[in-house]
Amino acid sequence: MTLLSVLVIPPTLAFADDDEAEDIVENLGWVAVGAGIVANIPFIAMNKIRRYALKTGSSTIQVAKQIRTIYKPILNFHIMLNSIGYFAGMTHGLLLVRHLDSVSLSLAIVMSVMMISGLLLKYTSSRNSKIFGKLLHGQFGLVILLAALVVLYIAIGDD
Amino acid sequence: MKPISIVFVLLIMMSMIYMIPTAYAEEDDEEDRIGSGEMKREREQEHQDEGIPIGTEIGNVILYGTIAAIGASVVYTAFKIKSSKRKSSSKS
Repeated sequence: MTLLSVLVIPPTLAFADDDEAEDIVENLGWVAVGAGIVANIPFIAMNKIRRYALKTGSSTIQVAKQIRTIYKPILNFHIMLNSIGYFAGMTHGLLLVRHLDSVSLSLAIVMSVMMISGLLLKYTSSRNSKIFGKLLHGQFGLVILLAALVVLYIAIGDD
Repeated sequence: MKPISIVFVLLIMMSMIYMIPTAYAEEDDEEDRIGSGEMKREREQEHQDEGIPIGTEIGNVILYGTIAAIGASVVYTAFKIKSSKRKSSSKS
């Protein structure tokens, strides 16, 4: 995906006129937002339902078992879409680096922290790092902060 | 090569591919506009376009608030792991 974006986006921008290039950069931002919403809302909802089903007891345990069978494909979907969103967002940021402000910088930092903790969770073999990655990646405060910064960034961009 | 190393190498490559042509393009544009005053006006316009610039009071609050929130969540996570380890070691 990264290779594809590296091969496709720079020539497109080089041959496009100013308005088209601006549209492409703007669309990259919307791709990042869309990918983030599609990747995270169903995944978070699924995890909440699974936890609730396990907590409530015997009648809903069947639901938790069913969710467990589809957990792996949904996790892969979550990782894939979030990676696309991250790279699209970072490319959008790099192309608009001349307009860098505190909201976009904060957004880039939070996105990178979430991505690094996700990579740590996926690829590390050490037990401690895995627990650390899991707890940090699932911090509700960070998710709220990320959503608030995205909303603020869009609101400022629209003005 | 580990997948994580491949991701980092690709990231570095990607940032270089975008930065080098952009830097050259900006130089050419600047040469064309020197003396006309257009550059100055454009810079002023860019500063007006920026949402919440870095260095302003609100900008600093957002930026340092974000960094503080990330730091706090990292410390909280580490504290949580340490306290759970202490509990498990005291039980055994």
